[in-house]
Order: sequence, then structure tokens, then C-alpha cells
Amino acid sequence: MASMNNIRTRIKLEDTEILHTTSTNFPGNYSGYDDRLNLDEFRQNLQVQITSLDDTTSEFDLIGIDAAIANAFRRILIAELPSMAIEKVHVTENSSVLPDDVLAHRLGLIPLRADPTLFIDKVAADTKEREDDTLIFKLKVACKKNPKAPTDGDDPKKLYINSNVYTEHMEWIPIGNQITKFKPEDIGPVFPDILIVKLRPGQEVDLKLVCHKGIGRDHAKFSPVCTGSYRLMPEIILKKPIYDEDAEHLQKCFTPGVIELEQDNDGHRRAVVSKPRLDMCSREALRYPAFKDSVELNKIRDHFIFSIESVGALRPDQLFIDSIKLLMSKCDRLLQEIDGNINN
Amino acid sequence: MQSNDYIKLQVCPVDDGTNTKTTVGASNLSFIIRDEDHTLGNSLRYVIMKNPAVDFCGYTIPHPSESKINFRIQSKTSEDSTAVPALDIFRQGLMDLKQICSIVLEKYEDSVKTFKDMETN
Amino acid sequence: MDRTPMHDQSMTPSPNTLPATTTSAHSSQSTSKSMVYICGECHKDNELKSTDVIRCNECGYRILYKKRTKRLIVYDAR
Repeated sequence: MASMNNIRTRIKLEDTEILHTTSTNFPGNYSGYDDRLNLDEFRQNLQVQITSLDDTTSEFDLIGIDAAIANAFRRILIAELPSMAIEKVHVTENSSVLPDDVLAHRLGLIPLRADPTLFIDKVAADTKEREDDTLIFKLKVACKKNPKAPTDGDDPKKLYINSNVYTEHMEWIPIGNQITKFKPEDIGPVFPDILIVKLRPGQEVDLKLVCHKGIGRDHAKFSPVCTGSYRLMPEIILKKPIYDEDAEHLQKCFTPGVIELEQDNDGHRRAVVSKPRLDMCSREALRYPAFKDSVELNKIRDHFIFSIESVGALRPDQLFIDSIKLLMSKCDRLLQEIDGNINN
Repeated sequence: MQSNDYIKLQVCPVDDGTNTKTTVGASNLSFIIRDEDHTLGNSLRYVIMKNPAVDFCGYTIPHPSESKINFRIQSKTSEDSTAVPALDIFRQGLMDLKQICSIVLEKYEDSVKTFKDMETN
Repeated sequence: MDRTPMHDQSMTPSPNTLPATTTSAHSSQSTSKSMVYICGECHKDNELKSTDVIRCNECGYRILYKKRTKRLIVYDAR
């Protein structure tokens, strides 16, 4: 029987079920626990440990927070933080094998390097291209036969000029004050080598790409993250010592590196839990009767291992900060409206 | 995305028995919050349920194609048959959620700073 | 089907109209109007009048394609 504290702080993995999945730490649920919100205690218990952080990816641990709040940050990262993306494609010529609409959809998904904070949302009814809400690119590429091509090869890249259209062919057309506001390296596709379409001699694309600001809830192309996700910290408890062949078998039940074998004084090899963080939480060990009573698999309810992979426009740490601020501004907005209602 | 005069929050009035519809002092209230989903709904529900004066708090998305949530708060009636007004609980919940966010923000920014300092050294 | 008035005239001649008159009326109308078509075989451009035989000048192939419209088309990148 799981103790009260275990139910409150651990999610238990059994062989055919997962127990205690929802948070139950609310006032009145448990006698002997004061579950009311205590911000000082929250501040004391909250830990943030950053394991890695660079321009595009970050992993960090958020410890001492409930899934309801952590999930709000994750959802905001994916669906509510803005970014710029190609929204309209003006096609003057497209004789490639890709139909216009398929090509337009492909273009929409290209990640753009442009700081979304420097742009405002496009007013839907306003069709004019304004310097503060629109970015324009030109993509005009025609494929020709290469006169200097070697006669023996069959590589299209050598036989033809511009057989592949890449994002590097996109040419930024500044409008209004954009020419002074941005440097050429501020604006453009995040990667120069994304293949857009393949051409053969005589084929041509001539497009104008119009980019707007948007959020992931509207379309995934506006999401500033490739993945924003978390997992709970695994906890593996060996309730009885496991030796030699059994220990080796146990080691194979987990992700490599989770279980290590230790030489003890009697010359036996004993299984010890080394890096539970690496575990991918398969419940393989629980399939064997030998391990069923000696291994306990848990997840720590309030220990989130966050992983943020930015698409490239903003740094992952900036994105997480923005997601927190966005949740705060949601609260602010509602607080304003309550006070407005009461005055009425 | 939305202009400032757009009404996001609607409080559904309750009949207090004297034929006047009130929202301000009522102990049980339903709210309609437009353009919100589980992101705010579930985090706010969690914070409000942490309030010992609350008997029940829950939310629902009545239909997936409408972007709004129905949010319900019922406060506890104490022995002298008084109850904290639900609107106060709602306001307190929003302020608590904001506080939680600012604590997370502060701690995260500290950790990022220490991490970056460590990397440059 | 989408039909222009010009087509209606040529496609549905009234029974008392002689075929010869139809052709002459047609040719006078379309001397100024010639279209460029692309051969389905050799991909050469062919400038054809409506009276011309539908045939590639280069290779004689009888399947010709219309060129893409010069008009600008706007697509949603979604």
C-alpha cells in the first residue's frame, strides 16, 4: 500500500496501469497537510537547473511546480508565442512540377529569421503592405542547361544551372523604413540550404512572398519552437539487492546507462541505479516475475525536464521568458476587466 | 490581436432571491472567458482550488469550435453562513497565478544568468 | 462548361448557315488573334491562329497545351 506521501508526490508505474496520475494536493483532501497556496514556500521549493542552453536548444529542470502551471508554459510556447512566416504567395510564373498551392504551402513552412517583437499583427481587412507588419521576399529562379557541363556525367546539379531552388535564392525586398531599421543579416530564412523545389531547363518560378506575424494556434508555421516539451523525472527504486546474472538482465530492461553493475566485497556484481534521468520509462522490468517485487518504478510529480528547441528566430531562454510573461499578461487582462465590471 | 475594448470576461449573474440579479456579492458564480483554453483554464483552476475558501472550482470548453471556456467557482459557506464572494476568489486566483509566474520568471532568469556566467568563465 | 460567345458561334452553326461563311467570318475575326501553344512532344512554342491545323510546326505532334496565364495569382501559404 502506497503511503500518503507517495500518492501525493509520485506517479507510480505498474505493469498494466499507471497510478496516482492527477494532483490531489488541495486543501481539505488530506488531514495533516496544509495544502493552501503558500507563495513563500513555493519560492523556497522552486528550483530551476539548466543543463544545456545554446542559440537553438535548451534543456532545464523545473522542480517544485504543478503540472497545471508547467503545462500552461508548454502550451504557450507552442501555440501562443508569435513569429513571422510567409502567409501569401503571389505567383507570376511557376512552371515547376509542384502545383502552385503545394509550392505555396511549402514556402509557408520555411522558418524565418526576423524578430517578431519588431512587428505588429496584421489587421485582416488591411491589404496594404506596411513596413511595420509585413516582410517581402522575391523568389525568381529559372533553370538553364549548363553550357560548360561535362559530357559524361548525369548529375543534374552539373548539367543544369539552378536545378535546385534553395532558401538562399530568396531575396529580401525592404519596404519603407525597413532598409534602415534592419541589417540584411537580420532578415531572411534561418537556413540557406532548405530545398524548396527542383527545376529542369525551361522551368521557372517567379514569386513574391508576403510574410506576416502570427501565432501557432492559427497555423503551426507560426510556432516559434520545433518542440517545446517536458517529461517527468523517472525514479527507480531497487527494493531488494539484485546480483550477477539477474543484475545483467535488469540492466538490459532499462535505457543504457540507467543501471550500473557494482563489484561488492564478496565478489558479486550488484545492480545500482546510476542515472534515472536517462530512463525512457519502458516497463520492461515489470514483465518478469523475478523483478516484480524488487523493482519500483515512479515518476516525480513536480520535477519537469523541459526541452525547448527553437526554430531559430529567438533564443530558447528568451522564448521561455516570453511564455511566462504571456501568462502573466493574460491574468492582467482579466483583472482589468473584473475591476471594470465592478465599477459598472 | 484583440483591441482593448474587446470584452473577454463575462460574469453570469445569479438571482439572489429578491429578483435582482447580482454578481458582486454572490458566493457561486459562472464566468465565460473568451479566447482562452486549457492554458489559462487549467492553471487558474489549479490555483483557485488551492484556496481553502473554495468548495468547487472547475472549467469546461463547451464546444471545441468556439474559443471560449466556462469557468465555475463555488465558495464554502462557513458555520455562520457567510461565504467569500466568488468574484473575490476569482480575483485572488488571478493575482496568485501572476505571483507564481513572477517567481518562476525571477528564478529562471537567475539560473540563465548563472549558467551564462559559468559558460563564459 | 465555360464558353465565350465566339465559341458559341463556331461550335453551334445554325442549319442554314453555310460552312464556308462560318470559316470566313472566323478567319477575319482571328487574324489578329493568334495564341502560343506548347507542343506536348518537343515542348517548342507554337504560334497558332484559330484556323490553323492543330499541329506542332516543329515535329507534327497533334497534342498542344495552352500556356499558363500571365495573370498574377495569390495563394495562401497554408
